[in-house]
Amino acid sequence: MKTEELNTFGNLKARPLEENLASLKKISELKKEIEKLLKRNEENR
Amino acid sequence: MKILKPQEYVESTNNYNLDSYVVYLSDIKTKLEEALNEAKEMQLEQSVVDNLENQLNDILDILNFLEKHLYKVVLASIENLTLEELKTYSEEEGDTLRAEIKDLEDELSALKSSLDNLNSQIESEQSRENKFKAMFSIEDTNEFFKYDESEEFARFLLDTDLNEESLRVWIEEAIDRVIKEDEGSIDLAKKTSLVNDALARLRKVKNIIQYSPEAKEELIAKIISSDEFNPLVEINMQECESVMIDILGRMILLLKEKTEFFKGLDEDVQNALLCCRFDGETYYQLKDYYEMIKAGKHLPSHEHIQKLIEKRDACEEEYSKIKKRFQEKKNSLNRFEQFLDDGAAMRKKLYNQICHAIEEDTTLEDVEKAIEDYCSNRESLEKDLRSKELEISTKRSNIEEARDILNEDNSAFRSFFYAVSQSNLSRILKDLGVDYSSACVEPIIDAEKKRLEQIEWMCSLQGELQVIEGKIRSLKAKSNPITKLTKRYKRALDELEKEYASVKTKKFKESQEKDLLHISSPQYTFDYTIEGQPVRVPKVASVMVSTFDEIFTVEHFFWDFSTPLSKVANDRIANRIYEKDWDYITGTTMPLQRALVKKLWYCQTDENGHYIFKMTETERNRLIQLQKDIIYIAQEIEKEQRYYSVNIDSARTSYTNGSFWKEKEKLRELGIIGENEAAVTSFIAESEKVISKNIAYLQAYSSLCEEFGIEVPKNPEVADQSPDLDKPIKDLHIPGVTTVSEAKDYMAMLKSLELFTISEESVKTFYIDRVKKN
Repeated sequence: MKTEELNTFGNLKARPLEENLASLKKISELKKEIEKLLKRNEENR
Repeated sequence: MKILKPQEYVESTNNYNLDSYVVYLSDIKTKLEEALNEAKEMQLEQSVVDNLENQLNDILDILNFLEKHLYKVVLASIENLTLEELKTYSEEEGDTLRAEIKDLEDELSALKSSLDNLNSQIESEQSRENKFKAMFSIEDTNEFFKYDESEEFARFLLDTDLNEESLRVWIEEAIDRVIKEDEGSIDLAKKTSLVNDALARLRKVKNIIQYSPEAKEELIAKIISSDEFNPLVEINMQECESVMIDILGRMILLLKEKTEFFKGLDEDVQNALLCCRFDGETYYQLKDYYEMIKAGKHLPSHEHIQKLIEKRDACEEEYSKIKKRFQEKKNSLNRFEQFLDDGAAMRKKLYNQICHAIEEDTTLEDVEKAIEDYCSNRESLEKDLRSKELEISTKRSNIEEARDILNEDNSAFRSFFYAVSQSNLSRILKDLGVDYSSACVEPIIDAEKKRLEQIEWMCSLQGELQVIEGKIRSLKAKSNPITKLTKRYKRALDELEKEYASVKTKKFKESQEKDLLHISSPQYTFDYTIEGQPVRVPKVASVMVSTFDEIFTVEHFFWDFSTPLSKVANDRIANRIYEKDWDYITGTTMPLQRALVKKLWYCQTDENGHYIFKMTETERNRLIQLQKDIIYIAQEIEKEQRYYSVNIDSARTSYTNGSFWKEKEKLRELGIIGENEAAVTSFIAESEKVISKNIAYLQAYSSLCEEFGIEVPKNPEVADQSPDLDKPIKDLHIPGVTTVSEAKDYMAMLKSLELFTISEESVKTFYIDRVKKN
């Protein structure tokens, strides 16, 4: 993916700092959930 | 299902919101998870599962991409923040500091006011104490407190060679004082006569003493108490008698009033003393103080002052502590205010805060520190691990041994615990107030022996009386109604009745001498509860001894055999014999119960259900034999108790000296409490956990070193084990990072973010240096 993909969500730099931080947190949590799921599958295989 | 990339998502949904896109990805993840579970449940081909997992990995890639770029955005936005904006992110800390300073200021002000108050209290108490001390050091203070009793004063008057003129003035003043207090009046002639008489009496007494000093105490006693010979009281003027009685007392007052000590007192104290004529609370309190000072003791106020000083010292200490904290907070506030002018510093702090927001409380410094600590601990950990393995191996062998001990049919073990449980029973009974031991049975035997004596006495009384009764019966049988009217018959009958009465008197006298009528036995309490449960204690002693107290311990008339035992007493005894408590008596005490029941048989009942204690000779002999049996049984019980206590001792000795003791000691050393299987198993499991944790710990360390290209000397114990990336890392305090693989990813993430201008090379150098140093 290219950096431009991200620009589709508008100018993220213009968003308040708190909003960006909140998004980051959500992304990080979702990542962890998927990683755990994949790990569990790997173990059960 | 196709996963839409950001641009595709925006085009298809017309939604430009990043958070909505994350929600969309999250929904897909949930659906994929469900599909994955169902595929596995239906045991579909692996390719299907792989396909689903690949899609999850695609989402993960998108999320990684988003996260990485969003970080850049966030950090860039920090870079672009103005000084004022930066201040708004930092101001919160300043508010907290100011509030804390305000609180401390309030605390300081309250403490200052307490301190001032304490200081003023101490000052006033000390000045009061010093004033007292100064007062009591006045030369004639002793004089002031000396004469409280007229006797002492009279001795003073007789011992002191006072100028007669001044003595006259003194007596006059005393008389004036009495007259004034009584609001009376006296004419001059009478007064002069009173004074002269008093002086004359004193002179007379002094004169006697001069030539006969041994009479002094007697004379003093008379001056004080005798109405007949009181040189001051026995004044011839009847109307002035009451005045004269008070003269001595007034002279004491005058003496006290003239002392420098009295003159130096405050006016209110003087008034209080005068008001009670030096006999009230104020006077005796002053006197107590004076005695204390004389004895080199402190006044009561001293302790109070010391307490106040201690309180003030504690207050000062608290004040200085808070003052210090206050100063520190002020300094922090100053620094913070300077910080608000420093954009670069605020920016740096905000970076750190963002790192906290993203990864809670994690910074690169944390990781560095954790790894550094890890390096420094490594050596001791390896050593610890080896010693632990050694210890565990020893413990394993010990535990095996312990298992053998516990599993064996060990007769020494069983007999010891049987003895201990018996000993415990005896101890519990003793705690409950029942002495179930040979020492307890001894008094019972004594009581039963006394009872035997009583029964033998009673049988002999009955025997003798029965013979006389027989004679009376035979005399009556031989006589017809006419001979019964003769004097001879009457005399013979009279003699027999007299003999009957004389035997009774003689025997009762004997019983009184031997104290056989009333035998009292020791009593014990019966019912107890242990942990809320009612417990019936075998009350051998009580039942044995007290049952027949009621039969045998009665009034004289019972022994006439004419007065039967009342129904109430009858029922009470019967109940006592058959009450349920006997159910708790077993073993050797059982024959005792039977014997006691038998004894009751000899108390026959009449037609009204009353017991009458009248027996044939055979029955009497049987009763005596039975009582002997009871004593024999009690002696047997005592023997058993003795044997039993010796048995405990011998069991204890063999236990202490025997091998079992050593085995038990070993179990105790091994920390196996309760000698049970579960404790042993759990101990082994715990030990094994410690080993595996430590192995994982070293593996994690090796792994981290490898990550940074550091050569790790292989630990022989660890070498054969392949590194397990999922093994937990101990003591690495990074939230969300608990395993080796998570630590690796974490480092990679930090690097990928390019948050810090540290090259991989410099990181490597940093850790190599650390290891070299260690």
